[in-house]
Amino acid sequence: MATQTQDKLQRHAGIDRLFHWVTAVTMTLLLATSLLPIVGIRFPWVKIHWVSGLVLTLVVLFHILRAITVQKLSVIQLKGADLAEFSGKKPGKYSLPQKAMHLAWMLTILVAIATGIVMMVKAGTPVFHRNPYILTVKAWGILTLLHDLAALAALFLILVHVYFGLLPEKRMYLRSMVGGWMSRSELALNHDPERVARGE
Amino acid sequence: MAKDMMPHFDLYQPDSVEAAVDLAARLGSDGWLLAAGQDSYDWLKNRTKRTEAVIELTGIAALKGVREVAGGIEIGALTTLTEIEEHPLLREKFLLLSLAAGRVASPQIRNAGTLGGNLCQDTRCWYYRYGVDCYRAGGNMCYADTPEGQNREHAIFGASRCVAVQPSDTANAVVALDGSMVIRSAKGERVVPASEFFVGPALNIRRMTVLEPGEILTAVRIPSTWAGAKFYFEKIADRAAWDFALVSIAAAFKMDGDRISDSRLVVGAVECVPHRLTAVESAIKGSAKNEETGTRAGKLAIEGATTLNFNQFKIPLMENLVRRAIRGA
Repeated sequence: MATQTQDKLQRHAGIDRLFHWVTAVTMTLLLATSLLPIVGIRFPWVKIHWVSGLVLTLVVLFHILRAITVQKLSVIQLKGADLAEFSGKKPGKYSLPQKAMHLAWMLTILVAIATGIVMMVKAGTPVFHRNPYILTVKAWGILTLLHDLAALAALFLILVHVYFGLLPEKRMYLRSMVGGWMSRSELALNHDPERVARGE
Repeated sequence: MAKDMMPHFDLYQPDSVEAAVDLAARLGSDGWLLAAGQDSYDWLKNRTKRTEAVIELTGIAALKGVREVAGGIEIGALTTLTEIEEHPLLREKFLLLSLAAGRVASPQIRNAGTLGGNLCQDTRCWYYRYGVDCYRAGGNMCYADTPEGQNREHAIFGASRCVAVQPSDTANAVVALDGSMVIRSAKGERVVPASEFFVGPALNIRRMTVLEPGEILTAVRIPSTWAGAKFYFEKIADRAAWDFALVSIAAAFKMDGDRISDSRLVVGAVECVPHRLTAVESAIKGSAKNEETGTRAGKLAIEGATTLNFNQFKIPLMENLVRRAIRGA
């Protein structure tokens, strides 16, 4: 976490904010294209859906690569030690709820991507030669169920994520995802600056 | 599967449009609208689709006949295909529709079959009609577009998970004539351009038209815009009669001397909707109606076509039909 000015501390680098917002846009498109036709709003959704899914896959791959090579994975990893926050200990860069949210997003998006890519073989896209016989009908059913459950989980997570992002006492996190910074006093109030400085 | 007898359903035979609309509204998706039944009886007798109730529309006199109205003509949805084929007014002004109607199936079917039924019939994809759980049937798969899928009759344009095509011959003519569909329901009447009446799988994979449960196609309106134009209709099928098109074309041309001043070209059986060639129409505007223009138009027409395993032949077929339509009308 590098100092920008005397009072502004950088929380998210520009590239990470870009990743977040590209993910947000693609997730919105994916959910809109999958759910709106179900509630009767008809439009040609399939192409928008799989193209958005491919963009999401690429940015997630980039994010994983960056997290492994440039960033410290442990910063976002949920550990038993994080439970100490319940007894008043201040967190490092990310609080326990933030880590839990990231974990939930990670699982949801990875399931959606893994199942979605296989489903592209069946749906017919220029990316793969169409062949539904690579799996049995039962396996396709399970795959579709997992994909749909991931979509519903994503919808729930978006609601939670947006709700907390808009709460006045949490709004500095939203600002930091837009402008990249958090004030020194905000950090001190919600996090342990020393742990943050140590990269925890 | 017992195919020798009809399954049980309640039969309603309204004698007015109002009564039919009331029934359709009351029964909703449980009420199967029946015209002459040439398509419906297949579904019901084979038990591929089932229904609680059938609303037979053929007793409604108001839905039959060809009428002159301000700005064109109105054809009742239950007018038979034979009547459309032979009607003097249609033959004089809108020969294209008569030609298309005259190429539907066989004389016996045209004697019973109606314009509305022909326009609203379901697709002929045999996987779907056999009753497999494909996307169109509410399932999770297309069996026609697979490495071994038998897709000789299927789409080369506009496929989106489903590769079925629009089987109606008259649909292409109605679109080419800038027709519109009059739809009645308990909510009132709405008029939909023919070009927007048919829907592809990208928009709604479960239906072929915009008709919602409770809605009835009551008439087709043809504006006088194309009255007396030069027309061309050709249908290529495996048999000369009682068969669906492999590819067909419905074309209308307005001439300014020996030059094409305006045109409509609609190709059938290559997409889930009548495939209008707007790019070709623009490209041939002002051109002479000859072999050279036809050849150029044919090449343009097939741009963007995507074939399946067994329907590559549709590309040269379509190219040649476009060429012949321009050369020969």
